[in-house]
Parts: sequence; C-alpha cells; structure tokens
Amino acid sequence: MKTIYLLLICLCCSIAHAQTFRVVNMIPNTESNETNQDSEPSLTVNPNNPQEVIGTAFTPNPNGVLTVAPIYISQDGGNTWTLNSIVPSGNGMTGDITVGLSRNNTLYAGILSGGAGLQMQILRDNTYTVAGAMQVLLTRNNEDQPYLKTITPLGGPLRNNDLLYVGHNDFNAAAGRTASIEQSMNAATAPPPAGLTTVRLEVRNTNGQDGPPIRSATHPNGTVYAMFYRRTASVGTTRTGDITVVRDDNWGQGALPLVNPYGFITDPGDGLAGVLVAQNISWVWNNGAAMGQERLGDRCSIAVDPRNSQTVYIAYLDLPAGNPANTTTLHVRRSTNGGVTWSNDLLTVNNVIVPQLAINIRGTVGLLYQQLTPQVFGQNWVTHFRQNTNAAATNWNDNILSNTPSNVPVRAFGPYLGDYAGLEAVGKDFYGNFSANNTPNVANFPNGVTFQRNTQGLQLRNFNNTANVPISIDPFFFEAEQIPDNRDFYVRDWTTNTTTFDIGLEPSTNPIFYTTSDIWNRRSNTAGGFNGNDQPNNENPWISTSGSNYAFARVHRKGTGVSETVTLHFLKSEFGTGSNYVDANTTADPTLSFASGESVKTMTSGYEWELIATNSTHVCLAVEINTPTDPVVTPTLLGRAPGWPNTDLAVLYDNNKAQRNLGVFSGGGSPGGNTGGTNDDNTTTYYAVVHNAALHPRNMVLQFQPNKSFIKIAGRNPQLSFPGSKPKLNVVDSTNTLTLKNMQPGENRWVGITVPVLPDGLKIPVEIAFSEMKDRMPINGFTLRLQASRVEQTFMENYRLHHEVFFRMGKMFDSRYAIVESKSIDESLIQRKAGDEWYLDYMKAHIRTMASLTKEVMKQNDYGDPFELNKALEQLKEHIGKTNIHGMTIAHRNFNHRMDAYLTYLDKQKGDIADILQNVRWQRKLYTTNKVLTNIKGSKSVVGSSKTFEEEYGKGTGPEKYPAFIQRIWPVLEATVATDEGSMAGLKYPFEWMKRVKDNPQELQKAHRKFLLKLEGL
Amino acid sequence: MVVLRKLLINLFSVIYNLAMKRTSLLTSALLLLALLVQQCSSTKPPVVVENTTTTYPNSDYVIKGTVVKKNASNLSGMTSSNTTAIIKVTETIEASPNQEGFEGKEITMMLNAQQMASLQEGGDYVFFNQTTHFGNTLGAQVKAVEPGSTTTTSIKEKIRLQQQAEKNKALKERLGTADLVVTGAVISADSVPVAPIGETEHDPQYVRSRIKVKKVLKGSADGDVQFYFASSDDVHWYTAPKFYSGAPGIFLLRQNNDEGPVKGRYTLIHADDFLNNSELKLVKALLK
Repeated sequence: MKTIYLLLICLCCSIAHAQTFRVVNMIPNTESNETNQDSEPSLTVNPNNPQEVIGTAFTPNPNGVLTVAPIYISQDGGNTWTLNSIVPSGNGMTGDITVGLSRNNTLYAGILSGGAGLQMQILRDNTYTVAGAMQVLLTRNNEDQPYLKTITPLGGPLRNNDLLYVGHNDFNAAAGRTASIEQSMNAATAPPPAGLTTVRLEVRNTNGQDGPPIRSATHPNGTVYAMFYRRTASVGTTRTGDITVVRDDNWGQGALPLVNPYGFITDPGDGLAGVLVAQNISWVWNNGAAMGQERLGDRCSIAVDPRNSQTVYIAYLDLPAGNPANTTTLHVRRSTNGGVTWSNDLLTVNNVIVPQLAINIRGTVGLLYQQLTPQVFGQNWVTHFRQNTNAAATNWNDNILSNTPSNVPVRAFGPYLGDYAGLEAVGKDFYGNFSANNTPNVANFPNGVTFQRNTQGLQLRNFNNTANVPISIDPFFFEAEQIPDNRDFYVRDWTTNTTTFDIGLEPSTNPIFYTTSDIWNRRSNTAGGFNGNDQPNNENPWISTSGSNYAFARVHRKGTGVSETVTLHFLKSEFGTGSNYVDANTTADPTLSFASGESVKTMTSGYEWELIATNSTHVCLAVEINTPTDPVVTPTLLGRAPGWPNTDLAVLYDNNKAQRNLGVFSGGGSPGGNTGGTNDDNTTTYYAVVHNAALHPRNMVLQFQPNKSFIKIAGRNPQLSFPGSKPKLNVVDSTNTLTLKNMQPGENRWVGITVPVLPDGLKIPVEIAFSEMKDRMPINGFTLRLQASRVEQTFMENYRLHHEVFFRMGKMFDSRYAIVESKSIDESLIQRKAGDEWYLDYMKAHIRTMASLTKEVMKQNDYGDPFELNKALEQLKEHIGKTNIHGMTIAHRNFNHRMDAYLTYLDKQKGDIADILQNVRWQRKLYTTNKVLTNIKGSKSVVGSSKTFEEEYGKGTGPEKYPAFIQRIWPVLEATVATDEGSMAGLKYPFEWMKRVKDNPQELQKAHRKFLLKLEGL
Repeated sequence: MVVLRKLLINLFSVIYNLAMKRTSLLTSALLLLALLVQQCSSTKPPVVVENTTTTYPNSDYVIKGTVVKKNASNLSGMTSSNTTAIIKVTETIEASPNQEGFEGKEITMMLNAQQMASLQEGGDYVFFNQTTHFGNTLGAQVKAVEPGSTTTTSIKEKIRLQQQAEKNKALKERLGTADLVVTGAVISADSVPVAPIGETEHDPQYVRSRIKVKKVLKGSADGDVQFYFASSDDVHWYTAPKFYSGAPGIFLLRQNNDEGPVKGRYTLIHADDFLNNSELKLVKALLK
C-alpha cells in the first residue's frame, strides 16, 4: 500500500509543470467596434471564488459618459468579460489603476483620476457588479502610480479585517523622500478615509525623488515587503540609483517604539532601514516611443513565498553599462532570509517591459514580461510567462502567450502596452493579463486564444459583422492552470451550511478548518449521513475493546471530468494541536471511484482503524487524497503536524489534505438541578494536548474563540488550567490569546478547559476553538464542542469512559484490578442504558476501588497529581454519600476526563513514536547549524543518514527502523559526548539512557529527545 | 463623431511630435493642414437653446423594444431577478456608437418595481436608459418607460433639442468658471517644456504659449496673453489640445490652482476649452 502511495507521489512530482494555458481577449462581444489602445492592464481574483476576476485597462467608458470609467468583470474564470463603468473619472477613462478584491468580497482600487493629472484616489465598493460609482476613500494631489494590494488575515488581532497597501510616489513628501505607502488596517467598513495613513518608505536622501513604482508584497503571517527605485542622479534620459527593499513584520505597523514601520531590515552600509539590493545602477527614462513604441522608465515587481515569509523575489529593469541606449535588462533576484541578503541574478533578459512576479502555494515563481524581439519583418512584442523549474530558481521554463507586431497600431498615447501588467497566484494556478496587438491570428498566440469580439479569419469584425475593424491594442487575460478543475479533487476543510462551504480553495478561507471538515469517524461501518447543515455526523472514537473505528471522507472535485480513482490515506494524532500524525492503520488505503461526470463521492464503507487500549479516545483524524494528476503535495502529514517544520503545504494550503481536530462530548447533566455542592462540583474539565512540533524552543500562541453559547455558559474568559507546568509559563491576555512560553521541541503541554454543566434545552452546542498561530497566521487548532444531552446519554458516556480509562490503566500498568474495574461495565450494560438507581448503587460499590487504583498509579509513577484527581474523587465521594445523582454524574464525568488526560500524560512520559521523525529532523538541523557539532568528525554522516531516514519514513520505513538508524550514527553521537562541550553539557546521561533503551522505539525517542535538548544548549 | 475627434487628436499628436523634433518643411505643411482639419472638426450647430425644460431623464440609450421575458437576464454575470427583464430592441432612437446595431437583438434591462409592473411580456415600449454593462449583450438601467405607440420622430426631435440644451448648459458652465475668455490666435509656443513638480510618466509637459488677443469676452487682458497647455501624449493628456503658432479660435483660460510649476498661471488643458470661431455667436449669447 505504502509503495503505491509513494509511487503516486513520485509520478505526480514529475508532471508538476504539465500545465495548460487559457488566453482570452478581454474585449466583450458588444464592444466589437472598439479600436481603443486598451493598455496597462491589471487584475485581481476573488479569494473566495476564483471564478470572479476583475480586470482593468486604459479603456474609455463605452457609453461616452465621462463621469465614470469601466472595469472588466468575469464571473466564469476569465472566459467571458463584461464592462461595468464604476470608477469615478473626469474623462470617462482611468489614469493609472490597480485593483484588489478582498476576502470580505470588497473591491478596492487605487487610481490616478482620469482627466485630473496627478490626483490619486483610493476607492471601495462591495457592489461592484452592479451600476454605481465606487466610494472615494481618499483624494490627494501630486501623487503618482498608486499600486494597490489587499489582504484579509485569517488570524491575529486583525483577523478578518481588510488591510490595504497602496504604494505611491508622493511628491508632497519632504526632502524628496517620495516612496510611500498608504495603508489601512481596517478598510472594509469604516467611513472615509477608512483608516488610511501615509507611511514614508524612503529614509535616505535622493536627488529630488524616488522612482514611480512602489510595490508591496504581503505574507499571511503579517510580513510586508516593499521595493522601490531610490534615485540619486539624473542626466538626460539616464537615471541612477539603488533598488531598495524594506520589510515590516507587523502588517506595516512596525514595533514601536523599537522599530519604525518598514524598519525591520537595514542596509549594512549605512545602517538605515531598507536594504540596497542593487546599488548605483542606471536605467532609461524616456517618455517617448523609445522601444517598440513603448516608453521606458523605472519598472519592478516583488513577491513573497506563501510557504515561507523569509523567501522573497524581486524583478527590476536597468540599463547595464555598454548596452544600447533605450533598452532594458530584466534582473530576477531572491532572498531567503527575509531580505537581509540577496542572491546574484537568477535570470536576466534584455529588452523587457512590464515585469510581474507572483508565487503560488507550491512555491513556484511565476514571471510575466513582454520582450521586444527581432522577427523576420521588423520587431515583435512577445509576451512570456516563465516559472522556475528548480528550487534554486536558476532554471526557468518559458511559455509564449503572444507574439505580435510592435509597429501596429501606431501609438495613440503612452504607455503603448503599459508601465505594468497583471499577475496573481491563485492557489496552484497563475492568473494574469497583458496588452497586445489584437490581430486574431492564432499563430500569434502559441498557447491558444479565444476572442469574444467578432472576428473572421485574420480580421476583426464590427458588432453586426458587416465590416472589418482596424487592429488595436486589447487586454488579454490568461490562466496558467496546474491541474484542470475537472481533475482537481479536494476534501472540504469546512462547511457552515448547505450554501456556504469550502469549494477547494487554496489556501482555505476559513481559519477554523479542523471542526466541520469532510473527514469524520464512526463507531460502526456506516457513514452516518450529514446533518441539516451538510456537516458529517462525527462520533468520537473508542478503544479497541469497545470496537473498531471507521474513518470516512467525502471527496469533491471542482468539475465533472472523466472517471478517476481517488486514494485516501488516513492518519491520527493526539487531540489538541501540534501533535505529529501517525498512520491510522497499516491496511490498504481505501479508494473512491469517480465515474465520468461525478463531482462528489462519499465513502460508503469506512476505513477501519483501532485505538489500542493504551490510547486516549481523544484524537484528531486527517486524510490525504491522491490521484495521478492531483497528488497530495509533499511533505505529507506523516510524522508531522500541520504547519511544521514550516508552513509549507499544510492543511490550509493543500486541498488534498483535511483534518478533524474536534472533540465532541455531552455536556449535559442529569435530573435534579443544582449539584448541591460548591461551584467546582458543577463543572467538568476537558483536556487537549499542545505539542511543539517546531525544531526550536518557542512561545506557542493559541487564539481562542468561544461561541455565543460558550460565553453564555462559561463567560467570555474561559477557565483554563495547565496541569504539569508552571503557571507563569502560561499566560492568557485580554485579546483571547494564550501563550505557552518556552515550549521545547517535542514538548507536550496540557490545556484544561473547565466548563459548567450545560442547562437543559440548550439548542446550540457550546464550542470553543483554539487556533495555533505561527506569527499571525493560523496553522492548526482544535475545537471543543459540548452538546446538551439526554440523561441516558450522559450516563452512557460516563459508563463508557469509565470502562475505557480503567481498561487503559490496566493495559498501561499491567494492572489486573484495573482491568476488572473496567470490565465491571461492559458494552451490554452501556447499551442497556442502565438508569440512575443502578448507577448510584454501582458508584457506591466502586468508589473505593477507583480511589485505590488511582492512588496506586500515582504512587507507581511519581509525577504527583497534576490533574487533581484526588480532589475530583473527593467531590465524587461527597455526592455519592449524599445520594445526589446529579452531582455524582457530573463529578464522575469530571473524574473520567481528568483520568484520561492523566493516563495520556503518563504515556507520553515514556516517549512517543509519533515524534520520531521530529527528533530526526531536529538532529539534522543541529548537526547542520551548530558549530560545535559541525566540527565533529562524521557530523556529515549524521546529516546524510538523518535526511535519508526522513525521506524513507513512511516508505516502508517506520518506527521499527528507528533503533537501527540510531545504531548507524552511534559512533558520531559517542564522539559528540566525548567533546569538551558535550561533557560540559552533560550529554553522557541521556547517551547512556539511549544505550539502555536502544531496542524500544518509544523509549528511545524519549532518551534521544533528552540528548537533543542537551545538544540544543551547546 | 467622438471617434473622428479622437482620430483627429491622434493625428495632431503625431504631427506635434514631429514638429517638436523640428524635422522639415513638410512638417509645417502638415501642421497647417492639421489646423484646418481641427477647425472643421470643431464646427458645431449655431443653435441657442436655453432654459429648455427637461422632458426626458438623463439617458444615453433610448430604444423602442419588445418585452421578451420579465424577471430574466441574458447578460453574462448578471443573475435573473425581479428587477431584470430581457428586451428585444426593435428601433434605436438615441445611442452612442458603441450602442448602435442592436436592432433585432436581445438585451437586459434593470427596472424598479413600478417600471416592472407596468410592463407586459410581448408588449412594445420606449425605454430611456443608462447603459451600465457591455458584455455578451448590453445591460441598461431603465430611467423611464413610455408606451410603444409614442412616435419616435417626436422623441428624436425632443432628445435632439434636449441634448443641445444640455451641451449649451455645459458650455455655459465652462464659460462661467473660466477666468479669461478671449478670441485671437496663437502667436508662439515654446519648444522647451516647463519643469514638472516631479518626474512622472504623467507629467503634462506644460508648454508656454501666447495668444494675440483679438477680443476679450470675459475677464481682462492687456495685449497678448500667456498661457500653458499640456504637450504630453501620456494617457492623461493625449486628448488635451495642442497649440501651434497661428491657431485661431476662442480660448477659455483658467488660472491653475494645483501646486506645481504653473500655479496661478493661465492654462488650457481641456479640449472643450478651445472653440472654433464659428461658435462666437453662441459663446456671446451664453456669456450674457
């Protein structure tokens, strides 16, 4: 099974660049008569719906009205377009315009007002498909080239706010430091100016100004980059200066008073904010028809890797010494450390205009540009779309989208084709637009083209198809599609109701992507159907003595393609966040066969998996789906937690992965109203494990969101506890943020959530979601859901958990008495739903045994009573003594949950095979980066062996191979211990421990981790 | 007409660029020709219509059509609703060039509830519209509906008069906001553009010029008047009028208020601020 699984992945890696192109002339059919110079296009794609694309160009309002100018709208992924004139104007056209659609379905535009010279306006509209001018948020004169980007964070304090970044060259700035950004941290609804404020990016002297283009790139974790041309000299048509890149790590707000906005990187030369990536370069400034009728000037672009905010690419034009006048050279460069240092040129191309960069969720860089190229007859403008084909970005493929004469038509105005074009990465795909000669000659468009406007042979035709129309410049849309929609399979990450749900977007647009996903568990081999909101009916798993579990998934595909078979691979981890996944079972992966035309399939038979007796029943489930053309993106979740070791291709970014980190429990009580005891008696504490899956110590940040029911029952501030860790290490602040400080790699920390008993008749479940944040981006999380329950259900759940925790205790500690206690409640009893009288008698008879077994386990393990089991037992005894069944029921539930968490806690003390791969990755990192370790003879073999182990893990290599792996690197570990530093660090103790447990993967993992912790301190 | 005007302006741009390079005598000849063409293109009917009561709502697209289907849409991207209807165009009464040629074709109209209630499927009506969408077909917001029995000749005449009145109203407003209105001819144009506020592709490239004033119609001027025009062919300025020595006409000059090199100076940067002398009678009437 594993072999097949991996073969699929390998096969799919090899076809990763087998993409298809779609090129569409954007002029609508009703505009068949038009002969405008529709140059300088831009584009934005709705992050909620890639079928909706908005484009712009220098296109006049077709109806002649001068007060508004048109945008282009497509509702079918760019196949057809409609002009809607909604941009305020003075002459029926726009000046410079760029647009951005937000996750709040709001359209923003940054423009220079048509007919008003250098008047910048920033606009907003949430009804952009219908008539009516966009709302003006800001108007300011003496501005140039507003270039707009928007992002809506999924997490953090600015969660769901629309953030705007409008680069602009502001001639109002003092001292010629004109490079600026107009930004808002909440632009969606606030009245004008919607929080827009000006931030000056330039901190150095110039020769009077910076260049017009100020470009920005945002990462979902709050990192914002910007680049611009700093000008230092101007002679004739030659400009000289530096390419400058600035960075902010807090959405452009800085970290005042320590760091000014965009002041997070400084140049080593002068220590000022912004790194001078290319210094003292020259370029052409010529507003005439300098090259192929196009004007030339400062042109640049910047893009950040969505998987890693430290990886950023730039593209810019210059005129290297010795090159002909009125030409350009494109340079592409990269930084992998957040803009601090930069590569040499990864790519250079001559005679280029409109360079645009974007990076998709796989980290592939897309580069769009147009190049003036000698042809048989004259010169042509050739539109290239290129992508890097190796990780070093030194190899680039090349796809030609258009190849058209540069001398037809005659330029009506500048720019002829544009000072910029449009390019966006949408999940795996790229969307863009460019302007070109519109001769309907398929030979001019090697990757195909479709026209909406009328054509006949090589001629454009008028609307009534009665006459030819002269050739002009039109905007062209294109999509570089990595996987055709009809072969793009996905598992929903979330479903709100029958009309609002995940449509396979990458990244997912809902930060809670682990609660209502289309993967679920059942305790019998029936899918269980879906509730009224189209969410699957999940059942918490049970341990093997109670029966098998069955994992189910529903798989969608974006279109209705040919028949295909989808393979599903299921994994599990501890309930909570950050715990590494292991295979749910080793039996063959199930498949789903899609017939031609089918777009959704639900497993009718589940994937059987078992929780061994020593496992908690509180677990998370994940699924990864594969087809030959649509593989899960590596790395898989096996041995990992979403988001770690970096954010690369986590569940959020790969629609082939889904997980359910949801614990559902009955939170109701029993007849009798008040417990008659203290407030504590009325509560139950539920536990989740938070695990640091990173390879370095860190503060783990969890943001929690209680729903309305939770707030009603337990208040806005949940009662949290942290058994087994020092209170000062766990801090809750007023922004619903929990920080678990100084978490070591592989460390587990328990979070207890204490909730009062749910009142009768509560219809909406009590829910609290915890999102694990990396920087400001949710990468993982879990949800606790409590639902009102009937008395019998509460009893039944208590019986079952009682049975499970004592069985687990018996197996873990080989305790015959615990097994007997467990078996005092068997399945037939649970199913009989024995009533309150029996329950009271039972508890009276068993409370002493429960107490003595608890005491015995505590004594054996010597970890104290972090989960306050003694207190829980005392409460239980008190209620039993008072024959208070209601109080007893809640106290029993409370005891069961605490005991379950305690047993998991004890189990983890022995080590965790789920963390083996994390240990190995961590070890490789240490032997690669730590100077003491790299100097040890054989350290390279540790790195190499570790890498091999990681690559082979899951491909026939699992935990059982771990001891042999450790044996292979043993001499180097021994040599490490023998160094002075190793001796000082006390490596000998964990090393000896490893030796003692060398044949037991679980215990070896723990000893190895201790060893690595010591290495971390070297 | 709009297209023709744009073509002429483009021609001017090309000629101007050549002239700025001081190429040849041929250029001068072309310049003269261009000036003549521009004068022709600026000819407007000498009709003075003032204070005309607006008969029809402000519409750019007036048609006679048949209601094909209510609560429906055939415009891509516009969903059918109780505010949309598909109309078959039977006659175009008033349209811009981009709206012509739809006779026999179906378009989508957006109506309010009252307008929708007044329509019957299969019925003929006159629709006064603002076109909003140009896609696979037209989308238009209905401003008013009249029975289809209304004669189109009378509608056309009313619209013509109304448009003339609106045009004159607009001219009157322009004359009202102009600081100086003179007749005369351009006697010089500097070849060196004025330094801009900053280097930008959208620099208007102001050029200083002088008018030998024949008559002051508004404001005051002694002798020649100096003004600036935008010589740039950037997208912002390519439709702004370009001036050459000898160009006669009516000049509506405005003192520039923007921060920059021509602040406080007279500028002429809008095509509607330079009129043919044949408009003199109308201008005088509107200035009264």
